[in-house]
Amino acid sequence: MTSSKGPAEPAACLVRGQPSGWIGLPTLATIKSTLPTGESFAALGPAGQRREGESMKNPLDSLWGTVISGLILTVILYFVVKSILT
Amino acid sequence: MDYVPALARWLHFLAGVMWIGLLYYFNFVQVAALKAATADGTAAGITKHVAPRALLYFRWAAVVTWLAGAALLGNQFINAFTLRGGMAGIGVGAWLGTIMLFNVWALIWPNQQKILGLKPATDEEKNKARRVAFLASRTNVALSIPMLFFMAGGWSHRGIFGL
Repeated sequence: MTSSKGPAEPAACLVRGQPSGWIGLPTLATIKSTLPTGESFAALGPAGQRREGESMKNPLDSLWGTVISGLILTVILYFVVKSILT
Repeated sequence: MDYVPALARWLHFLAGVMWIGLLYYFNFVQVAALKAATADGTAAGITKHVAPRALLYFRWAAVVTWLAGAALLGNQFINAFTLRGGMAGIGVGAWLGTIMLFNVWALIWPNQQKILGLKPATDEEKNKARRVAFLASRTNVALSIPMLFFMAGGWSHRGIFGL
């Protein structure tokens, strides 16, 4: 796991331990204040993609990220099983 | 032989509660407690006295859970693992449980042995072992959520699946 931090990562701060609200999710104010605008948006590159060398945080590093991952997997597998059974 | 499924189900639940209960203890309690204990110099209490005992019951409960589950499936074992014969729901649960058992014995336990000093390892190896064991354990927490959904599937789930 890499965990680079720096001012040149406008979008990445949404998932990198910025001030958080209930259950560790970013508050609306935090999201608004960290959304890329103007020049900072251009710095993201084509279509707002991350630049090379940047990495997303592993959801398993956070307990809530782990639980949410498990719930998402449950929904996916539910549809898989439903398609098999019906 | 009619007693076998009932006893297997009972044992499956008993061992499963111990396995998943300890898994949740490690992830919801011990990880954060160890961080705090390391900060105030009391981590040895956990790493020497609590973790080895918890790991002993954890890994063997995983084996008993899997074996009792296999006995409970009985002649439906193949159907479950091939997701046939209307056994897709419990089959997915069985696959998830099997992956979790693999994680316990192939990733978590060997690396925990290095972390706890039960096996010789350099500091670099210990750091790597911490990361691997942590991620494997967290993976098992994530997998346990759908696993329990599908394992608990019975009459109560028929409506959910439109049966």
